Amino acid sequence: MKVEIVHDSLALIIYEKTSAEVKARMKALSMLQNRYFYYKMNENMVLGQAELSFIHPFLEELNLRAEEHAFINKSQAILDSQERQNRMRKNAIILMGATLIMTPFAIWGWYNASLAKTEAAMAHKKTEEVKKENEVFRKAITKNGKLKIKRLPPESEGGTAQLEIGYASLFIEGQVKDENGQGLSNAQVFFMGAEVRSDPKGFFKFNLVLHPIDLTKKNIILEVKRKGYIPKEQAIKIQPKLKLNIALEKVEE
Amino acid sequence: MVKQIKSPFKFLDAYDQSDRDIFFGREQETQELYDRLFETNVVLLYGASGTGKTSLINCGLGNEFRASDWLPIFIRRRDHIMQSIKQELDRHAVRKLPEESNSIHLLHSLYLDYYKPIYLIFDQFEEIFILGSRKEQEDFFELLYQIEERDLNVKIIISMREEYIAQLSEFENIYPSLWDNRLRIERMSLKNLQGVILNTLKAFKIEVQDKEELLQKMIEKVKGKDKQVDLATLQVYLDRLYRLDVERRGAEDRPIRFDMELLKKSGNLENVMAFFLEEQLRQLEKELQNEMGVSEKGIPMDILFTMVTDNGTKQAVELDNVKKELKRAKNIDPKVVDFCISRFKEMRILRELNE
Repeated sequence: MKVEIVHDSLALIIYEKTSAEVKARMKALSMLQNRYFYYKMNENMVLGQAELSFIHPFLEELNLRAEEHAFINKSQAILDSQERQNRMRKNAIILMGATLIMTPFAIWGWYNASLAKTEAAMAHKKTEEVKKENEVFRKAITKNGKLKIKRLPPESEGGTAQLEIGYASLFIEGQVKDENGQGLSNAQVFFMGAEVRSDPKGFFKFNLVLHPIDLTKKNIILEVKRKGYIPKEQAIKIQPKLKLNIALEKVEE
Repeated sequence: MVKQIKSPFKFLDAYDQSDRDIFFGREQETQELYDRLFETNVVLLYGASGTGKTSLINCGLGNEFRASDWLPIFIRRRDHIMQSIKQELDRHAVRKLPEESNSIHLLHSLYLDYYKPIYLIFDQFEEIFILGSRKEQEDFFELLYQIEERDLNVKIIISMREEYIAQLSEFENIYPSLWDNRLRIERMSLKNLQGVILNTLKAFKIEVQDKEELLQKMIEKVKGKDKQVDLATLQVYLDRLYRLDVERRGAEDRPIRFDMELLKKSGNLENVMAFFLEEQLRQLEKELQNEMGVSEKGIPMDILFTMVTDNGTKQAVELDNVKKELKRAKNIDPKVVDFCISRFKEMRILRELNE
């Protein structure tokens, strides 16, 4: 036998008289039954997270059938599995992202570390060289009393020794001649990286400041070149003043 | 005492053909519906709940036709509209056709049985949208289309709540005629309402004192939150006044009388319907305790609640299912349910759907 309430207005009153909780429970049941109906047609149509959360508080009171419980449990299991996969995917992405972000920093850090190491090594080498120079210079002073030096200050902060060394002055003058003994103009004279040109009569002069390490060398090469003549090198013994005469031979045609 | 007094008012029931002499206020709508059915083969009748659509068809239209003019077949969806159509057609059939016959064959045969135009009247049609599947809806409109195509001597009236008519638009491509032939039932005007009250009281030989003031106050009392009057609520209220005067009259030999004093006695009712329901539930719980030894409160409400959708509308239920569910969910004895259902029917809160 089918029965019904005689009028909608009465049904509405009955509905309104019920508590909000009962109404919510009713909506939950109605939703579940509706979704179960579609699930029977297509097993992919399981409940989503929002729906499961909505039903959950009423599970005990609803007194569901076994198949409805199974439907809820299956939906929850699928959701849990999806969440696990999402978590793993997320972790992998975070790891990759972190690696991508950190790699340039790591490279930069390594580069800086290498640079620092190199600089440290260079600074150390420089310190050693300076010490060596100083030792040499000290010896130079002993050998040649005419050179003046300044005392070395203590090493400064940063580990690099700052040195003040008294450089030696060297004055060289001379004349470039041809094979006939005539002065050769515009000849290039190279000495210790410096260059001068001879004047119209072939005269030249250098006023150089030498590094102490160079002073330790016995001979330094002087080179002369002129177009049409064979270039000439001459070993020079270091003296404070030098006067040189250099003869160039013509290039045979 | 509530059990014994039987008032003449329709209360929550719809007017039927036999209520011709007490059906007032819808003369114009009745004529309009009648005229439309001569112009077209399908009419969509819609309006708010409580505007009296079912009464208009059953009583208003029903009394416009002579019995020889029409064969009305009232169809409710029940479990499935297509099954219900076949069941009703079969029930009316003189010559019974094989079970596998489709509705078109049944309609053909039914016409030949009676030689009268068949009027298929689908009442509470919104149930197809509340409870029916998409397939069911499509099958139904396809049938309407077939009926029109084959030019069968069939007229169709679809009566539904206006909140659901938008859902018809989805089926316009299958059956375009429906929307073109619609008739809206408006809420009754104040003037008509006063006429309905006065004519109804007169028909029941109820005396009325302080007519103007009384009518005004009555209508004020039954107005809902939307300031409109629900005809069912009006009936419940008139029923209540009737019962109050029966109590007031006691043994006095006089006709029932409605006056300002009676109105004051009825109190300030927030909601006539809610008050009525509370009264009935209180009564029923007392009876459950006294006659069945059940002290637990709330059982009648639990039963009624199974017949309400989560939209707050009524839904027909299979009694056996209700008993099983309530036993499972709330451990309510099926005998208690039977008792309550029987009393609800007497109180005119529930009705049995005719099979």
